[in-house]
Amino acid sequence: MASLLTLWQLICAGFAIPEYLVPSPIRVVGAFREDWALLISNSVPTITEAFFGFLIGNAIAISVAIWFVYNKIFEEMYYPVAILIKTIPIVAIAPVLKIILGNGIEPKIAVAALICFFPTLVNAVRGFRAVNPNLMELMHVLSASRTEVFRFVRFYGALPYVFSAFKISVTMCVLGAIVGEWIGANKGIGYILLQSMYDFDTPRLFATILTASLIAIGGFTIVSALEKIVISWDPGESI
Amino acid sequence: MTKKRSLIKAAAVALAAFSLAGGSAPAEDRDVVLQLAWLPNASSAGEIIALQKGFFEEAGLNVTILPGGPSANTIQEVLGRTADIAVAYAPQIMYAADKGLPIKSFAAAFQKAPLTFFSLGEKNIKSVADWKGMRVGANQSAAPQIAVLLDNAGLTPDDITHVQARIPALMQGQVDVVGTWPTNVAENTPILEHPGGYNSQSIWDNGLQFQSNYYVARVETLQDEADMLNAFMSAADKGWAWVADNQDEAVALMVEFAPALKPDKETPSLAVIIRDYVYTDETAEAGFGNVSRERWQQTLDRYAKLGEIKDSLTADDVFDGSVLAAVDRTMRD
Repeated sequence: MASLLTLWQLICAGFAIPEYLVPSPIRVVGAFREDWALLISNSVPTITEAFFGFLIGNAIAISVAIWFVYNKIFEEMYYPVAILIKTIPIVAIAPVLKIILGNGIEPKIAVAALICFFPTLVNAVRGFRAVNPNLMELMHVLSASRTEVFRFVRFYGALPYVFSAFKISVTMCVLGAIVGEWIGANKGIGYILLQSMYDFDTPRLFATILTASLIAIGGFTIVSALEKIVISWDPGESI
Repeated sequence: MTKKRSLIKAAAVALAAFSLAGGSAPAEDRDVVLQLAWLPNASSAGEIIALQKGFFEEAGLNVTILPGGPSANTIQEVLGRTADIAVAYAPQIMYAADKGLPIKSFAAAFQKAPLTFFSLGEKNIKSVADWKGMRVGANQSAAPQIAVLLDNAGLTPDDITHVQARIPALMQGQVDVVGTWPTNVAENTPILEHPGGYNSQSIWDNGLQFQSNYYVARVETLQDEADMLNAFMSAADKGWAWVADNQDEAVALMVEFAPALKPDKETPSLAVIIRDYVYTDETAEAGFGNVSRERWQQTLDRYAKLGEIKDSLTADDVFDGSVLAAVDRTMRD
């Protein structure tokens, strides 16, 4: 890491790269030191939006996945819709969401939720289905109800899949919140990114990009820690 | 029991006090949402200051300012009733009028549209005619403006290569000409400080004279809520006048409103905006926010000639003069 930073600094200095293109790491650190309060205070709305987007997007995705698992017809009917939602360019839909949902935090949460939805849906459907046939047979012998099968077998079977999806979506929901902020906000990491970009304030731009990464890494770390707590067994066996 | 009762009593008193405090002065305040065309910066200084200094409040308006940005369509916000008043650019207004959408401009904070095309001194590009065979960097939305300039210089869009590019591309030699707003002094620094000098062609000096940062409202608002718009206009005028007289203080207040702004970048921009765009010879005579009907008509005709809009549009389709006529405005240059 240190060697990479040194190389970056040397390239910037050695080739006299103008700052409006790429700032040197020393300048980026300087921007961090100068603007840390601004970056922290503007991380709060972005984290809030990403957090609620993550909760809502995943809650909907898991509910839909359960629905799909138990209703083959619904799955066939609505899976294409889910794919459609996934393929809608998020930058194109964001301004529309703003007009529908107003100017508060809602459209930003919606964008973040939209981004989280698909990976979790796909993984959860797969997870709920990935059940050990022996276990199913056992449940049958025990005359377990559908609810019991879900509670004791499918649910646990899906957890490793769902957590893999959470790991993907926790990093993406930060991106969603930032895209949401690009359509009109005067606070948040997305706003600072835009303002710095249009001011050619590249040191602060890089510092903000790194802040966005740090937020996403923070989310990833939390989800990984949760995964360790929740999945206490070796998932290799249960699948 | 007594504790509960006293709690209820306290709550009732608090409620009464709250409703009294809330009910006396601002009861008549009209909620108004203003949608900016861009991120809050020096080009919306007057409106931000009118909010920060309480000029809107004095005028009986409870104004919320919404920031714009690269993907904000401010006219859509007004049509969708997210905003009551929007700041918009001339082309957007013309396209909306062309589609028959019920919005009109009623004033313009900028007397001149700033878009200017810069090139480095070494290229020796002295006029639009010299653009032949060049790579011109500008936003996609600037294509019609470029087309008008080329047409005025006897060229066609096929004579140039239009690239989506900004100042770094110019400095790196990826394009020969780049369109930008001279009001963004900080952004333009690499050009302004280029050792070989630079040349510039503004759309204003090359036959496309429209204004900028128009205030736009729904036609029904213009008809039914003239008082609100007049009050807004008067407060915005006051805001810009205060900004012109207290530029450093204004920048400090703007940074409070939009903390990502940097005073050293906004101060020079604001000076240019006040000096060259908001207050001109025309505002000395006609007052702040003045809109020229003739310029609107010429611009409409020019866009119609290009086939961008239908040729039956008149200045009355894009502009309503009632607010400007009703409000006394600051006259200065």
